Amino acid sequence: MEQNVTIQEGYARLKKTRALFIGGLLIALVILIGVAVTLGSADYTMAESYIAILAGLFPGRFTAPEMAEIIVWDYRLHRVLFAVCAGFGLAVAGSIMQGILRNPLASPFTLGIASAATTGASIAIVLGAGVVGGEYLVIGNAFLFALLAALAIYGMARYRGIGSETMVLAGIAIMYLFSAVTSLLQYVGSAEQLRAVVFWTFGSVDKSTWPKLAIVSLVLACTIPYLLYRAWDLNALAEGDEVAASLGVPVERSMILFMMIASLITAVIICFTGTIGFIGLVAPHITRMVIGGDFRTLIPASGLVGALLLLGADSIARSILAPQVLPVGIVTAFLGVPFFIYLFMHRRNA
Amino acid sequence: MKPIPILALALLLVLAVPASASTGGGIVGDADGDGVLTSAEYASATLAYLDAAYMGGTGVLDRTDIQDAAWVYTYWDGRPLTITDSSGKTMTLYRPLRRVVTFSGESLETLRSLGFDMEKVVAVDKYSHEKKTFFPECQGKANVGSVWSPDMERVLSVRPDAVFLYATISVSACDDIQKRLEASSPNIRVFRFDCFKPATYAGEIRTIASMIGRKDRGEEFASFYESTMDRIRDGTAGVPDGEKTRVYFEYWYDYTTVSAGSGYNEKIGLAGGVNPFSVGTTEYPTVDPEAILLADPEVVVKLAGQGLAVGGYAGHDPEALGAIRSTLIERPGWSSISAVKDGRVYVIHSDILGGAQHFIGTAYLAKWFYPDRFADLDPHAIHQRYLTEFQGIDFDLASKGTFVYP
Amino acid sequence: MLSIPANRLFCIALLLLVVPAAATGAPVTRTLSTAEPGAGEVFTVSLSIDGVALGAVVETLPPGYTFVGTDHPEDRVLVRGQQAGFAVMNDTRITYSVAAPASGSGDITGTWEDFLGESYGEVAPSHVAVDGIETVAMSAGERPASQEAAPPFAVLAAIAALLIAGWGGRR
Repeated sequence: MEQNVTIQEGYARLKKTRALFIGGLLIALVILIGVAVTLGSADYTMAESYIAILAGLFPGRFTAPEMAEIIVWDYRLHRVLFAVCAGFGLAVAGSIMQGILRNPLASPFTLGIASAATTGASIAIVLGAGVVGGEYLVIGNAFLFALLAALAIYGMARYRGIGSETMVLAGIAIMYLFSAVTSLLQYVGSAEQLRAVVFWTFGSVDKSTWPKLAIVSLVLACTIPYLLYRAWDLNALAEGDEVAASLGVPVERSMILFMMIASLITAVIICFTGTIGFIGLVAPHITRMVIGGDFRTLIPASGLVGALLLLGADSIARSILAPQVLPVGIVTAFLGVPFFIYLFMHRRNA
Repeated sequence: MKPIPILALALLLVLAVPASASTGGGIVGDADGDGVLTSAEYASATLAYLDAAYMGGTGVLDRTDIQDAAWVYTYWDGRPLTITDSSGKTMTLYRPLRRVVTFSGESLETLRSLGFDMEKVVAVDKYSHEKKTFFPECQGKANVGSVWSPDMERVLSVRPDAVFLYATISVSACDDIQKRLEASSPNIRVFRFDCFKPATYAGEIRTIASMIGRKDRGEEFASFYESTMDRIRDGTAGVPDGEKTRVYFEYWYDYTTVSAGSGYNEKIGLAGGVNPFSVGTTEYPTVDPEAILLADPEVVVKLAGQGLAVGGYAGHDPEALGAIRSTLIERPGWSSISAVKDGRVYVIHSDILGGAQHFIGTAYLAKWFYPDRFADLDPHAIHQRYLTEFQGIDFDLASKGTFVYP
Repeated sequence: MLSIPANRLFCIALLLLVVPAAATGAPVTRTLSTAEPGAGEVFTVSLSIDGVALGAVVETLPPGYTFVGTDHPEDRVLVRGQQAGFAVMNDTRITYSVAAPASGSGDITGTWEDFLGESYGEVAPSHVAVDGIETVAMSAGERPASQEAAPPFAVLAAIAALLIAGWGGRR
């Protein structure tokens, strides 16, 4: 009797923690967005930035200082929203990867997707070759190669039997292959091209535009609800193949499907931003430490944590060396340091 | 999340319309819209302005408008100017440049050579901003970063009407800046000029000169530039390939030379030298030290500058360049190289071999490669004339700056 | 006998010459054929323009005075009430005639603009009074030299002229 009460109490407490956590995250995110749109080298007060936003939504009712509307709408707003979406997506992809690979240190890049996207970008930059011409040359290539990597994982895993170990091994092979190709292209390219490739690998939200934001939002809007719908299956898979199978989850098909969805989300984000690391690793890990690994809440919560982390990193990137804008990937790389130190100091046998 | 970006996109289009309305195609005051501002049209535009400004009349022309009309009437003969920039893009200008942002120091320097009113340059790139000796008047101007890391908000907040970017280098970065500017502010004109390539510089000088209404000065400067380059070309013409001076050109870093894709290699060629290491596609290949001894160059040139920061405009430091030269000569086995035996080892600063002043550096190269043919060529005097007469800065080469050694 | 009024006249003339020069370094200066026209007399105003290729001058006449005509091309002149606007196109001199009223005094003021030089400023005012008689309400607050700081030398010369006029008057 007593034990039941304790378990029920414990679960109620957990539910309350989750609700508070997610609620708190939402509030923090809204506040951070509110602060981030006022950051920038153009000298506007906070009030002027908001007036500029309102002036864009209700022209005629509000008049903003000259240029403010253009600067806020064309250079700040979509960047902030893009950072939110990108952070959300990378975190969700990371949580999926950590689930199906049963490795809390997995990330969206564990399966070599980042290396593949970099190779695609390098081919576009150095050789000028790609599937989509014009301004989407690099983006198209990066996306294509990222998906190619995912398909290669699928192919290799299917050949040897689909399981988390085979996927990780295949991922490592893919990563080395594409890194080698990228290095070769960097050597062959001119100094200018090399610079362009390196810049791409830093990862930045600089190049965001409203259409790109729309694309990423669309992909997220289509995939996240489906993932939430299948959250129980993810929970089962995270427990182990046999457990999942015994619960009636089509293990192999599900693992592949989730892997492809996570790869798709990652690909569509990094093809626009370059490789932004650590968000996909740190965000789900932190979230799991607070509210546990139930994917029904893990997915949205880690998404919010990821959005907060990336937006925070981007805000730092824009302010720390003002007027220079640091690539956000560099700031997130530094994020990894305190995180791993923390893990190192607080190692628990989980 | 989804509805917001689409809604915002629609609103952006709405915003873009009023922005473009203020561009105003057509010359100010061209009443009959035939593309020519006649003196009668100009006079009546002036009176319309006076009416509106002083006599309580209604009119759309303000002081800037009538000043623009006067400018176009004087410098462009009342007609719009059509120019082609170095990226091949043709554009028609209806108004003079009043607020210029330069992302390229070479364009800034060229504008100054042409006597452009530097007050009208409202922002410069960060590298020009750092050159306190060479661009003293730019210290107070806004800093817009570099093409790879541009501060777009600052560019917009200085309200420019013209932005200068590179044409054939850093193309993706410059294209990106251009795209973002044209998308958000259609009344900003973007010009792509290199201003450092021997093949295109003279043409660019003339184009920019016509844009800023300094045709005569442009002709004068272009002739000055061309006379030097022609003198070099003529002086080296007719040297058979087998007799061309063999040159080992070392870049800022040890044992790194220049090759086919590099501008420095082009200048070696223009000066009549031959670079035995210019095969292959890597711009700055590392060479095997033995290969230098085997090639036995007749002249050795070492580049000082950014990666090897001594001399240039910032410092008067002949000893430092001398030290560099000595280090070179003392390399093992180098005493057997012809260049060392004949004392033909030189150090030159990238400030005068790259960039807009490349004609000065190339003149030095020509003189070093063929001292007999260019006995009467005086690169030092050319340099001083460039600084005093065209750049208009007070810089006495005898006491300031170090660019060549010996 | 003539010495007292002549002296005073000379010093006033000196003042009139010095003060405009002191108030501006301007490209446009105005001279009147007479500063004390008779009632209804038509007098000439001459604008001397130095170094303005393309610009404009707007003259404002005091109340009662009327614009009669000018030698400047018709399509470059705009007259509205007390104001006359001239489009300057490589002109060095613009002349126009003004009819004085039966009585009244005031300042002819002007503004010049140099479009190519991108500058503008005031033309030093020229005082005019019918028969030399000042009518009150006019020049309050329109002291000529208050608009721009006069160079010290010119101020001293003006004071000297006043002193000479006073000394000459006492004699």
